[in-house]
Amino acid sequence: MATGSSRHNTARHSLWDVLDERLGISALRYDVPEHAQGLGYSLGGVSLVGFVILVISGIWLAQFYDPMPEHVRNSMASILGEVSAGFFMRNLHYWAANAVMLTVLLHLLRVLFTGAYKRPREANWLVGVGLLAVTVGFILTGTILKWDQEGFEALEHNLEAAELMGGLGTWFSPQFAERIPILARTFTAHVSVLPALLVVLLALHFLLIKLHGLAPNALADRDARTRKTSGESSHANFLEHLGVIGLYSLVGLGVLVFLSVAVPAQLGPAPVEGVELTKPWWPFLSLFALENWVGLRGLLWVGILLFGLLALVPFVDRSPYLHPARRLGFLTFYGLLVLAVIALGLYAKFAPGARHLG
Amino acid sequence: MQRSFKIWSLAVLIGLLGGLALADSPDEAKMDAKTLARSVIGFVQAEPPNLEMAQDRLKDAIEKGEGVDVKVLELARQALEVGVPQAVPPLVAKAVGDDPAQVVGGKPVEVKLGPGIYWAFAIGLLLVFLGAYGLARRSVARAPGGG
Repeated sequence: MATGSSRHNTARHSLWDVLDERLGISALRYDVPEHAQGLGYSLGGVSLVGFVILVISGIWLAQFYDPMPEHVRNSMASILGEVSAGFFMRNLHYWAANAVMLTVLLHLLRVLFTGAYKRPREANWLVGVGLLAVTVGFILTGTILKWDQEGFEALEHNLEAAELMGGLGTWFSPQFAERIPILARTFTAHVSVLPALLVVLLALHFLLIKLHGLAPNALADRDARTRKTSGESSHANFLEHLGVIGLYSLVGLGVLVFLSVAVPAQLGPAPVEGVELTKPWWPFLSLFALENWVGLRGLLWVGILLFGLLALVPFVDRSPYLHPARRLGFLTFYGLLVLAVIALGLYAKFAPGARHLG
Repeated sequence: MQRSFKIWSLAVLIGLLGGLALADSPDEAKMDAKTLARSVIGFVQAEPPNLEMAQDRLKDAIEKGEGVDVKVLELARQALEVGVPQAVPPLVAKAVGDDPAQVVGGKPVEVKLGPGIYWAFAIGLLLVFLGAYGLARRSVARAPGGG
């Protein structure tokens, strides 16, 4: 006679079999290296879960957000004060965006530190740099959409940068579609253009990870070399890796839920033209400091230089070795660059604001 | 080698200082009276307010005068001088032909602690606990001699 527990196990297994037969879930049980089960190698997956939270909360907010300049403030006030769950969803969106930016940057630093961009993974590094650019695009457009003084100043920077870019910046200028307010076009970019780019780049990113396997453990020994890891014997499989990502994400979601209610994002005064009163969100603070010194035109070049330096990584560090001790010169250069960005951000946080536009 | 280093250092220094000079160059001259006047509202409503800048902009807007009601702007300047900055935004709005009521509504939207803070705290804590418990169980199971 079957006990309650064995009946429960049998039911669970038959449900699994039913789902597996139809969805082929067990195909995801391919081996992955043991070292992939830590937090460092789960940051990309956690970022993806963050994007999913952003999509869900974003769809909710889009139902109540009016991107016409004359209505936008009222719709924001309504989301925060009247719409059911609007306050929570707006703040969840804000905190999830913070978390995604942070995990994306940490993921990038982990890949940089462990040399996971080396042959044959150079193309995937470039796709990753593209994903970073899309993430920055989401943050910039999202900041503009809240349409307070900070958002308006972000838009003014964007417009002036577009002007400096000449023909290349036409698409970002109000003259491109004069009858449609630039705020409405920013909304379109935030909810359709950037998500489409994100999906294409993510699909490519995952395809290349599946093709090459996760990168070998750089810290295993001093002679660790870049190679394919798929097909290696391992005690861990991809489904377990997804489980680990899910558990870290659950912890992160718990923190986000609490922050969303306890530390709500503020909405500044209605924008006024011709003044620069605010400082940007933390991902842009270091650029703000640079802008104080080199102006907006210089900033444009610095931005291009920074992304250029990131794109060049796999072509500069071409040795097959992964261990940090064998890549000291390279890591020192990029480490100093990261420290400079952090120092500039801290400086901008405490330095007085300055005028850049005009 | 040393000479070229000095030349490069000098070039970088000149570039940085030049950039700084260009970045901080005054551009009020390019602004029309309406934009100058509207910017006063931003300086008055900023946290903290920059009343000195607001006064300068009001003065410039009055001097340019084109397309604004100079008399009303003069009233705004007096309000600022006698220490009633809250009267400035509606006056400026009137002077440039905007709706004064809209300016009053341009203050920051007050965002307070959410009403469901206890629920959010409980749900957040539960999620953190579940995730941490799962991770701990996993690490025990994978440890040598673990289940």
